Amino acid sequence: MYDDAGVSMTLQIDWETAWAEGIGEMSRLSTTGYWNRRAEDYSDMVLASDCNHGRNILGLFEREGLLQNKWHVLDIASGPGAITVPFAERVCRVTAVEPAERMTAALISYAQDRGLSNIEIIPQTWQEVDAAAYAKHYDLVICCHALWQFPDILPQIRRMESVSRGYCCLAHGFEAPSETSKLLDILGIDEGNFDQFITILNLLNDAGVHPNVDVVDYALTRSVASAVASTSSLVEKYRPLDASDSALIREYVQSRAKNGAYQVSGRMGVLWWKVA
Amino acid sequence: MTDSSPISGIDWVGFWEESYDARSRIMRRDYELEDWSERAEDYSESRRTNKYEFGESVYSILDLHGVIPQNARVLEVGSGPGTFVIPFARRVDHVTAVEPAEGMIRMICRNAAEAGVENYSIVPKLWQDVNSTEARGQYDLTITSTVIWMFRDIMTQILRMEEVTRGHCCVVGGIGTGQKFEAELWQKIMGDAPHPQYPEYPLIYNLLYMHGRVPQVRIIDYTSMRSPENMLRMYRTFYSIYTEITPEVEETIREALYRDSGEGPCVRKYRSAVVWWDPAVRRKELKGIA
Repeated sequence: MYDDAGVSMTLQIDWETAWAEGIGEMSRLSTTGYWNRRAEDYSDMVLASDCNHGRNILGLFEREGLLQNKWHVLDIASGPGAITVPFAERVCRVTAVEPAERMTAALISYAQDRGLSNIEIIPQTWQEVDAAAYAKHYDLVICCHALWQFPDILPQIRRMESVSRGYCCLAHGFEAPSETSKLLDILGIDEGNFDQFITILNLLNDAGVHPNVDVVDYALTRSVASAVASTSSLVEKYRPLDASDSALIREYVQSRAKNGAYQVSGRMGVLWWKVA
Repeated sequence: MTDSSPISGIDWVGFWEESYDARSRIMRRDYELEDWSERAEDYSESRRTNKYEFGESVYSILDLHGVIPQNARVLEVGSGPGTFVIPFARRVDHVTAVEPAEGMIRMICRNAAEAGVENYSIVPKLWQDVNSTEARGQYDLTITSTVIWMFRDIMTQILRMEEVTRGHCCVVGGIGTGQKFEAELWQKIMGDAPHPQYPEYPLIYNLLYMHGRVPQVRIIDYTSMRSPENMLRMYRTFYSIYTEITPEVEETIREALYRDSGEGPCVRKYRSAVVWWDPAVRRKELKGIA
């Protein structure tokens, strides 16, 4: 009855520890070396999908009436440019933070193909970047599908806020494509049910950051070869791949492909807020 | 690699109920409809601040995201003084206000007349007494604000809100931003008694999410401006739930208000979460990395 003062509940959960424990194994297995090995299949997917999930995030900021041509965007863990490229097509400048050499090579090649010359790369992990040197430097700091890299998540988010003079945006899987989940079930790969999205949302709210929440659909398209390579690499994170696995993956992907393209759809949870 | 993290076993409904029960334990009496009639004047002044800034912000967000179709029919659960009736009725076909407190109903009528709004009707009942089966699918939007903390059976009431809409549901919930004034006043009047919890957001998000809904959220900041007399009325009613309102208690409230705002109006900044969802859309269980 305090009207909108709505005294908040205090739920005795240490969300930072919950995150660190939930993300530990994934963080340990997904090294820069792993992403170098994934560069080719991942880039194929980003290109074939025409950066669908990046475009949908761009569309979100556009719909909200926030996107401005003069923006300088920081894309953390850019990979081959799913976020970087669509934003670079619309804003003044994009800086991509990406430590995996083969990913940055793919990004450079992709940007050249698109005639984009407003992209620069910081070839480091986000943890290695000197945030103080970029204080309040960017209008939007975005990290998409890559927060699992940070067991110490809140300090890393605070560093993202420190380099932003505008907005921060974190995007996560809200719902994995059902085709992907089915295939992993068949292969006996259990990536765990740790829910990154809801953990980060609670962690942020607990820390006094109250993000806006959008649930955004996306579609990923890739060649059969890319889908097979991606799934094979994923299996190898957990165990050696044998001949029957390879046959099963190929059969699964091929039977669902249309005209050589394998398409899956999922949902992203996009958390974004204006930095105080 | 199974989920052994502490979040997997959280009983959000249990937490909601415990929060409700903990509040009840420190109350000396329950809320009554007369309390809300007593609050009608101050609540109305609060909602009218900056030309219905609160309701206008919520309308703009829902409109931008396609939640309000053309010729929409809207049901507001617990309208109070017409929180959404006035801003919404100007743009939709019809607003039905469910509001049981006579004082609040008088305020809706007065505010609507002043705004020149006529396309509304009032159901003078508690939401829990409304027959949702009879109203099944009759509205495009069911909306409520600063009301759900009164529902111990939260998911039952959410399901009933979903039952009457053929479109979306929206809950606007207060976010506790640690108002120092409130904490200090409570301490002066109630000593070390635990501060009652009015959990709304983000608890409601977790409840909806865990029940398979796909809610979206916008955070809004807004202002409430009320006269010192209305603020006194609000605090007197609030504290009467928890203690006897003696002349000393009343004087403590007066003093605190005077120190805070002097003779002028009390200006408060609030933050709320606008949470909306389509009941027909359900999420699949997350597995693996998207």
